Amino acid sequence: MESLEALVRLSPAGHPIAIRAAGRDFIAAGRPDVWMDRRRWWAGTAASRLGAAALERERWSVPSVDEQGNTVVIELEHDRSANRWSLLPPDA
Amino acid sequence: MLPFTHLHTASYYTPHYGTRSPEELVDAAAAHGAVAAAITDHSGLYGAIRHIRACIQAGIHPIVGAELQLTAADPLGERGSVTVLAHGNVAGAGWAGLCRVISAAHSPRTRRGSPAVDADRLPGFLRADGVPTSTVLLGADSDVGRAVVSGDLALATQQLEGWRRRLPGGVVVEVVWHLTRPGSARSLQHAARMLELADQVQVPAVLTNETRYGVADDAIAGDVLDSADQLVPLESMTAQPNAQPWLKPPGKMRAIARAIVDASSLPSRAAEELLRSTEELAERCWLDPEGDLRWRMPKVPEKEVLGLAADDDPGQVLWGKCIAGISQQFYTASSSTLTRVHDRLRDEMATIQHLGFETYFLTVSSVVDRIRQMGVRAQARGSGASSLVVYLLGISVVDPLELDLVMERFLSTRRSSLPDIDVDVESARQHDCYRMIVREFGADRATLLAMQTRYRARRAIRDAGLALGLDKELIDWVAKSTWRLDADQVMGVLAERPEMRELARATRADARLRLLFDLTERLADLPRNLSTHPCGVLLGPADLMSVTPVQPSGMGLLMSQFDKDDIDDVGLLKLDVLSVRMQSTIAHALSEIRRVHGPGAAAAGGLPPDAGYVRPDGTIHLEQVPHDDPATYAGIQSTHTLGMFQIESPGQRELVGKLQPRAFEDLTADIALFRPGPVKGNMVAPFVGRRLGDESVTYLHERFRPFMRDSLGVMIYHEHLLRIIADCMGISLGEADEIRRSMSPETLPALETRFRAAARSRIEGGRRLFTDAQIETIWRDVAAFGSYGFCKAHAASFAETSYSTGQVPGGGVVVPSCSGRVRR
Repeated sequence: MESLEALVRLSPAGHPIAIRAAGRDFIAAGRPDVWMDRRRWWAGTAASRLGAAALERERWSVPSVDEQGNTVVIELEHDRSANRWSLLPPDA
Repeated sequence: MLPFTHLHTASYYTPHYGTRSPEELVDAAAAHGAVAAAITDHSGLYGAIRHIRACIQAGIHPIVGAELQLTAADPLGERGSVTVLAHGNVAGAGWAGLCRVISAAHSPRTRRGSPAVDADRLPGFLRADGVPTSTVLLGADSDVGRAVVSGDLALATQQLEGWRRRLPGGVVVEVVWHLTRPGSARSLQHAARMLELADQVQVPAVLTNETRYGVADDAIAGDVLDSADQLVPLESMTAQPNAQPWLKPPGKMRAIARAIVDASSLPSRAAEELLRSTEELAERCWLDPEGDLRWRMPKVPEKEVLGLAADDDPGQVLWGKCIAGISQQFYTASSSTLTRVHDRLRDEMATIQHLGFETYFLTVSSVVDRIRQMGVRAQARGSGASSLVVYLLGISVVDPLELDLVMERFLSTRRSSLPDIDVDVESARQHDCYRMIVREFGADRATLLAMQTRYRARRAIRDAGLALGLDKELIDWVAKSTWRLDADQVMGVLAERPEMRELARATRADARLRLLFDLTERLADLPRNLSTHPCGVLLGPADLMSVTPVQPSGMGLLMSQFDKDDIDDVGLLKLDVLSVRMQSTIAHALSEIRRVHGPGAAAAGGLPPDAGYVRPDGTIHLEQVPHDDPATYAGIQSTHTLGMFQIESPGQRELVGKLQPRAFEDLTADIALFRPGPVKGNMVAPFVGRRLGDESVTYLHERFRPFMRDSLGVMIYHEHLLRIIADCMGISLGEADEIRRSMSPETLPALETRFRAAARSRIEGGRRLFTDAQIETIWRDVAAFGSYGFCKAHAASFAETSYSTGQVPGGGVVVPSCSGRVRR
């Protein structure tokens, strides 16, 4: 399952508080986790000069409720350079 | 912005781990507005002196510590590690404890595998008079940190209380958030629980970033280093979780503190308390280079080790030895020569006493005496031979008055670091000399010296290729194609060199090769291995082990973790005991002559029966052989000099063939001419032409005639450079030597301005001493010569050995010529 682009509203502290993805809306309902995961920069045929962006990706795990009031954990990836958010499959 | 001090920072002196030099890390910290910077390499202080020097230059406080592994109660169990930071302004007690605990971790008596120390031994090193002299940081990899991450808070509490009992007032909890996955080591949860634990047990907590990189991008080099360390390709390796352990600016560290506290059960003010306690510990660990390390202050063996009584004055003893030396070396000298000798000796002694270096000279003299007592040939080289005191003590066989050598090239009141006296010994006996020095001075006063080997292209390509999982054949081909290059040169020269055309073509076609060279450049110049310096020996007082950490060398003797370039700042006495094969060859030949010919040696060699340098038992004293033997020079002029010291290379054979040396000064000049400075300055041809009478002798300036007569007006030696600079700029020889040492392509433009201005302002009798045209010519030669020449003292020392060597015609066996006549 591939990632989907997400629209994310942030709190003043920079935490996601509202998420829209795949036509659904979610409201943050708990403290999110944020971490950085390694990228396998050495894999494939990377030819250009490497940079810090190639090294790691910013991950968020946000306890949320959907429109029906169901509790779900939303997994997001944030590309800071493009300020782009993506919704990830739960096991990503 | 309030400053933040990073207390846990590994430099590239943690091999296969760190990626930045101490200087780069200090500069980055200073740019962030830090008032202090710490270095905490693994199991050593390899970069500590450079770190302190960089802090002094940056105007911030140095903090020094080390990350140490702990031995496990269970030999197969996890060992864990802690970081130890030395306290400052405690008269060196923190530094001394740190040195000793590191040495203990490396001790062959207690060590199994990699360096480690038993936690219960730490108080013996890290406390003095019941007071902590260092602080132990219990971080993510400590037993406490591991218990917390495993969720066993009861065990963590028990372990932290144990540490507090073990080192009351000397432990803190180190809180780190590397933005790792939730629940893993260095995650937000881990950091928050560590902070809560510290609060619960009432142990202070500090915030660090457990720094390994200067910037996040360095993690690429870090991955390759990890791969090289584990000998596993990146694809098969568990890579580091992310690239977060970099030297983050204060704003980010404050945000990290707030996030950790937010994730904990503590009130929000705990973030400020965490940052404050971090700065409080930092301040406690600010080292005072003068007070804690006696920075640059000489630390030499005590008088009693040199055989002196407690009330003996080293200056008087040194003076007495020199006077005795005069009667040995100048027993046939004229009264005018003796007057010059005494005048020079008084001048040199005044400088030595001004600097307080009497014991240094006595120590070196004692070492050389003891080497000779072992029956090992020893011969000083380098600028030390400029000194009359060195000559009179018998350390050097070169008479500085005869050769008009300049003491200031070796030592002056402007050069306050301990000088270098290098001693050549027989290569076959070098290790015997090491062992004798350690035995005679004591293992607590003498060590060998370490040396870092660094990544160059070939090794970097092999390690990066392994990391990328490239074919062995491909790695071999690329490594062999680039073996002469520095690791950061490869891409630059691919397009330039015809012999690399095939590799350049392959690189354009293969993205893997471009990635390989990118990685190779990232490894350039990083230290990769510690080895024993090929000749350095450190001597110090009985507390030497409180000044430097030591670890076993390959030959079993202990070696200091410091680099040779650190020694001036540490203030220790470094003696270079160089292994010279020719000295072994000479020793063997002399021994064979005595064994075969015995009392008939002189006759067998066709020497005069009354030759004073041949003892009745056939022992030949080469250093007493006169320098005027035509047969020796004829042998050299023939260019059949294979096997002769310093003059056997094809280039040198060509030069001696052209120069046709016929006096000792010629041999000295020949050796000095074969250097980049004189060659670049186009000084070889003029000297040869003048020596053969094909070219008239001229001087850059008539004022230079007295001191350039020995080279017929051609600038050959450092001594010429010194005297020209001193005369043109109206400064002392000591100041001129400072300028010589500072000469480099980068400094030349500023020096040129200074030189020209000073020379133009030199007035005598109302007239300028140097015209603009003369200044132009003189500066051209000065700049061309630079600092790439030999000092005459060094060239003369080598010439002494060259003169003493010869070749048996047709035999291929090297024996000393002894005026070209003692042959087998």
